[in-house]
Amino acid sequence: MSDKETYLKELDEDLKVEKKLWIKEIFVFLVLTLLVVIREVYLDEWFNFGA
Amino acid sequence: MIYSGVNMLMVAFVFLGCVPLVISLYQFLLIGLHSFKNHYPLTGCHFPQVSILVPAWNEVNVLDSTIESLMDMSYPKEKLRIYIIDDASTDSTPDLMKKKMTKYPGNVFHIRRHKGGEGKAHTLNHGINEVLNESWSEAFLIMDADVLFEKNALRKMTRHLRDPDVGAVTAYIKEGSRPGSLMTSFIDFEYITAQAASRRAQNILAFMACLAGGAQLHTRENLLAIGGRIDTSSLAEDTFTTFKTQLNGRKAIFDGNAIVWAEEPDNIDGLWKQRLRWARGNLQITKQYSHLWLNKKMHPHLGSISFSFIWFSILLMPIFMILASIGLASLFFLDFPLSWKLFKMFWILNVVVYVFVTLFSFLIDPISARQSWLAGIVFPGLISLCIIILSYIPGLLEYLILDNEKHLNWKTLDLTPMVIILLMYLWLSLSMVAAFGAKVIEKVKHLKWLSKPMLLISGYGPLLCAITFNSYISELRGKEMKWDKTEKTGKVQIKS
Repeated sequence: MSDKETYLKELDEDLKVEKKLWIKEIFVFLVLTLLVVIREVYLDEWFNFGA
Repeated sequence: MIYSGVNMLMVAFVFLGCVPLVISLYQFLLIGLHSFKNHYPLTGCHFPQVSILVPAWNEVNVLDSTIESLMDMSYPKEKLRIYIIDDASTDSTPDLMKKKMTKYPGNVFHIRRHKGGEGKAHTLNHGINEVLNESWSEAFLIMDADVLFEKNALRKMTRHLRDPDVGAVTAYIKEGSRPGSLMTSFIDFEYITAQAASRRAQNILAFMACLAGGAQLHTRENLLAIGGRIDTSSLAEDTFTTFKTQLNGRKAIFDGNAIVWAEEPDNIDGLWKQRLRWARGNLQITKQYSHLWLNKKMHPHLGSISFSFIWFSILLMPIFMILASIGLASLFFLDFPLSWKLFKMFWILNVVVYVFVTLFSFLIDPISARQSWLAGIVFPGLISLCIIILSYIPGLLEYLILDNEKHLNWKTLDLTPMVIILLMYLWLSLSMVAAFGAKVIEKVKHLKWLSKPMLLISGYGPLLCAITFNSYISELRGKEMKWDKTEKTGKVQIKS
């Protein structure tokens, strides 16, 4: 494989890694949102600590 | 009137304690943008003639594998020269170098100082003086003697130099000690957050706080523009180089896919020495570049609000934590219900930042996370982790401590809940004291075993804060700038 081909292959792989970052960020947002929903909607009801 | 003024001041103190959390979240929110805004479109297939400068003082344990890893890189050998700048080592470095120069003629060179001990920057300058005199080098890679480069790391760095605006590139340094320890696991996780994550955010914001001293690549033009030498007036020569590069109008880039491995301290004392040097260096830089902060005229990016906030949120973190503790503890006596509300708000923010930062860090570098996930979870310390969990479940803290009674005044509290609440309010500061205690105990022969549990309880984050606080004291006292060398044993391995 020529240097140019190797460069392009590595660049492609690295760009794939970078492109996944925003998807990962969205996933973290979703998890966080889920935790907030669980806290606000369910935990108070299940454990009833505030009563 | 005075009462309300004091109250407001204490509330402000608690809000100041939130600053590092908000800044941390801000950086992590930016990382997703790196998918769309990065330097890769401006790269090219580029192989300049690179001189690798390796300062070494009694590093025979690691030099062999370092040189072998450099010669094993997938980079044209005719474009590679490795200069070991021997700072008058008293070990068998000269003998090793004879062997290596015979094995790799034309690639490996030995530059020996006859009088050493002045520190890394002086050693580097000795080598730079010699190498820069020859016109052969088109780029210079400055690295540490213990750093192992992955095969493609250098070529992934040099590709950025295709862009003529780039002055320097840094790689992602990972902790590579084998066998590892609790401390190396903490560092492993810390480097995901501080490098793989934070430096990507800094790429987005078009500034770089620090090019890692263990792997920084400079163009010849950049090295000449910053004076052809490394700053020797501070303990953070790599950060000075980074600032100068950018102040001269050149870009400093982080490539998170160019990976190198380093051996980091595996005990509290070693870490303390290393980080105290870094923290003192950062204070010296803050002072030297006092005209730069919040001054966009000096530099559009380094003078930006974002950079100042990021820089000072780390530099002043111990002060923010102490102020928050003072604020909460004072409000406990002045206005108990308000103090409780603020305490819960602070820790709810902590829950959000903790979940976001920890989970995202695991996803950014899943390979490192597989090794250090437990360290990532207990990073804030077990007590802080307990408060985070208790804060997450609504009403639980009140149920456990206040027994759901409406307390309008601290005087109505029993002694036990009063003490517990005050300790929780003060924990932001006490955790630093506990981390310092872990460091002290580590040196006591019969109590050494206690230092690890204490570190787990107090947390790695507070340990770093305690070191930063120590740096204030050292700088205020004008303590001698001593280069405390971090001992390297050669146990670093490439873990790909």
